[in-house]
Parts: sequence; structure tokens; C-alpha cells
Amino acid sequence: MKPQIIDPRYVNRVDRNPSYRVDFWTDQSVSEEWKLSQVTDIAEVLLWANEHSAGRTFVIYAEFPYENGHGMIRLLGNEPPGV
Amino acid sequence: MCGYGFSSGKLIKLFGGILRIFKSLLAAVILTIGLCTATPAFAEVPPVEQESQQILQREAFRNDPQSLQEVTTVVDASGNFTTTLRASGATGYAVTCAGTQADNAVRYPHYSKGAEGAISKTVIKCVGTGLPSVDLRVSGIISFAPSNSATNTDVVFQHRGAATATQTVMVNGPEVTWYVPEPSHSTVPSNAGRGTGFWRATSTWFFEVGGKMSTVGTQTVTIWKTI
Repeated sequence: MKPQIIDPRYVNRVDRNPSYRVDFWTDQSVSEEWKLSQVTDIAEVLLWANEHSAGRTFVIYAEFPYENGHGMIRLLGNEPPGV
Repeated sequence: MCGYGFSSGKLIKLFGGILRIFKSLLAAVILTIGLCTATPAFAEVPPVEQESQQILQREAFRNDPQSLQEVTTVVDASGNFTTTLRASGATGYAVTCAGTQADNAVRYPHYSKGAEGAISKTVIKCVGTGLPSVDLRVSGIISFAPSNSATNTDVVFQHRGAATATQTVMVNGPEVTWYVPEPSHSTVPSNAGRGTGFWRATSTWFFEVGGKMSTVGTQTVTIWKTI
């Protein structure tokens, strides 16, 4: 990690109510993807993911729209290797 | 009782010798099977993949690649491709597009509950200088060979899904994903089905700069699993 003081004016877009994606993984064979909208904040997403994981690993992303579709920013976790 | 001239002790020795030979043969057979299963080898690339690559080769070179100052395609030791395009001079650039995992641009097919069947993806990131973005075209195929055993490589691959798309990739920007099959635009899910056997994903890719196309990179991954 590399912390640094930064001039905040390099950013000019903020989405205060993003949708989130939670991908549950059962080893390398099965994924189950959920989209969470109308979310208060990431703490709510994390609570929901833990409640529904049922022993599976999960990855949490924030979604953002762009001109050709949707992108995601990984917030927590990683996909199993290879998939 | 021992009408053939053998005493009971000799008979036991003979039987023991035969047993030892049989054990040796059995061990050799098991060893051979073990060696065969360690590295499953398929006899040939399925025709559908050959065809796809030939089509892409034709597409890649139709726009006069001679106008490019340098085109290199680097294959690393594990057989993966890194496609690089460079041009020198005042408007020079050097861009490399490759998988985001060290050994894997093409990901293994897996079952997605949302897609209701097998899907696979290719994930590529471009790095370099001199260009804000490149147009990367990826063609992917999912093939499947039914087999109840991971050690049986005498199988026939079936075409299960394909997708071709061009996306603009920011140089030094985020990774970009191409899915096979393409997502459904209706209520009917699009997927490569299910089954137990060898699942294979192949992708070929190249990128465009000013309407000129690079050479083609390709990667194939195969895994035995139940989807």
C-alpha cells in the first residue's frame, strides 16, 4: 500500500448510490452472481454476503456505468484461480 | 497325486514364481496408466478451432500489415501469447496486450447460476506508451467432449458456444472481459450447456491501431469437470 496526500480536484465524478455485485464461488466449478441495488453502503453488502455465503467464498464489486456498458471495481475477495 | 513329477514344494515355488511375474506385469500396467493420466494428451485440435484461427488470421492480415513498422508476437514457455505492436518516430507507440493472470488470459469454463449453464471468459489488459487505447478483437469458443473419466482422452469435442467482439481497451487502464457465449439479450439465457467431460475454451485475439491489425494471439485451456 502506498498512502499519499493528494489534491482532490483530479476526480470529477462521484456515484453515491452504486449497485454492487456479489459473486459466490464453489471451488472452480460453480458461480452464483447477485446484483444488489438500493444499498445503504458497503457494510450492508458485506453483511448480506456473509449471511448468504453458505460456506462459499465471495467477491464483492461496486458497479459503474460507462458509455458501452457496465464496469466493476473489486472491493473484496478474489475469484478462484483459473476461472 | 502329483502325476506330473512335481513335489508339492516345487509346485508351491512354481506358483509363487508365476505370481511374482503376474505382479510385475500388473505393476507395469498400473505405471503405464499412471503415466498416461498424468498428462492427458489429445490427438488433434478440433476442426472448429482450426477454422476459427484461420478466419482470424485472414482478418488480421487483410489490412496490409506491411505498413506497421514492427509487429511481434511473443510466446512464453507455457505457450501463452502476448501480442505487441510498436511504431517508432514522433508518433511512436508500444503497446502490449496479454492475460491478466500470469498463465491465463483464457479462463476455464464454469457453471454460472445466472447464465444457467457453462460460460467462459477471456480477460486481457493492455500496457504501453504512446496510445490512449487500442481496439482489441477477441473471438472465443467453448467446446465440450463428454467423458466420464478424466483419464480417457479418446474423445470427440463438440462446439458448444462462440462469441466475437471488439472492445476499446484503455492502455494502462483496467482489464477487459470477453464472455463466451455472449450474454443473452432476451429472457432466454445463453450458455454452453452442461455435462461431465472435458471442457475447452479457446480464444484468439488481435488489436487495431489506426485501422491496422496486429498478428493474432491465441490460447486454449482444457479441464475435466462436471458443469
